[in-house]
Amino acid sequence: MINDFDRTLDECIDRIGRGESLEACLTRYPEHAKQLEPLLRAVIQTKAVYSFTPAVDAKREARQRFFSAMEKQSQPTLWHRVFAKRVVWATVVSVLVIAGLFLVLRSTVFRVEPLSITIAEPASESIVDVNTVTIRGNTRADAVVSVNGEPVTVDSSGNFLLPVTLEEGPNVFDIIAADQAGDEATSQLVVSFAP
Amino acid sequence: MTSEANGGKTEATKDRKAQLADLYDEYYDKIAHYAYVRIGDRTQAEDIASEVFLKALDSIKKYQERGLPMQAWLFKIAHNLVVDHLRGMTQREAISIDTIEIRDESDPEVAMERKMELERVTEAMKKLSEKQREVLRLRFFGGLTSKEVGNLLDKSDGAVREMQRAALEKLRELMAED
Repeated sequence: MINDFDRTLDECIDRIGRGESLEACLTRYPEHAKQLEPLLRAVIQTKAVYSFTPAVDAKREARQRFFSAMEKQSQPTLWHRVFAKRVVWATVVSVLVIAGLFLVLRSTVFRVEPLSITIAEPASESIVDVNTVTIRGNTRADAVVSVNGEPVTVDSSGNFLLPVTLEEGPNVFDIIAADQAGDEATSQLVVSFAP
Repeated sequence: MTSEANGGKTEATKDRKAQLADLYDEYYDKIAHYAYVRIGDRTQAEDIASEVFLKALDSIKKYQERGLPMQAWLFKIAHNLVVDHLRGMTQREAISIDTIEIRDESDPEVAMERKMELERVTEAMKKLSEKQREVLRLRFFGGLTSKEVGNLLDKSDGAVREMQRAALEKLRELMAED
């Protein structure tokens, strides 16, 4: 049987590879010995002419290269060292959630009214026959108000007032309300004094 | 992907690296031998063996056994490196008996005899088919089993044994002719 012989030859090649002698193989398989012998001799001859052992130095250096590459790969990168830790991820996620909540609350619950200014009196473009009037107005309570650059007190309800002396003819008043965030609201009032 | 799956993958990679390290001492020599038989240059064969393990380490995550044992996979890498090497050689540089060094032979007569013997075997090997040569190289010098060679060449172990016997019969006849 060819299959049987192929298997026996294969096994003998392995045995010779492990150092067993040709004779030992032939003794082990006497029924195939005659056919095995020339083929196994060809195996031994082929292996002998191509005999080769790597240089000790070359092998040692290659080994060092391989194991240091392996060592290098097993060391975690900075990214892995920092972000592979669950506690770091938990902190990052918590901070993001808190910041998100803060932004949502700020724009809904703690929403800040936009700054505006309303002049109750006198009406703009009005003509008066007295040379003093009181400018009254309203803005946000936290705003700082000035009339033509002069600061005016604002009460806790956002009301402010300022008596002013008029020149004959049109008098222009620039009223500016500003908050700490840098928002501004302006209003211009023109009052003419006609004695 | 869950962290559990990631952890499993990392563990599998670790195991494969450990397996590769275990194979190093035994297979460095065999791969260098296999490369030497194919290219005929000791130093370059040693370089190729070294390169095989570094390449294997770099692509260890891609290695999945699926019927191809790791040692056979190493020879697949070695085969590709040898092919690249041979492709890079000029015709003049291509392997010839004259370029193969006969080492450790102080007696010039013995050295000459060995060289002639080498020439005879090499000429006979050249008359085999490439597949037959590869089977013999992997079996004799790579130390792979017929089953592993079959895995590598995508053949059954029975087919490999049959090719091996046919190759040896032809080789013996050719060597006997000279």
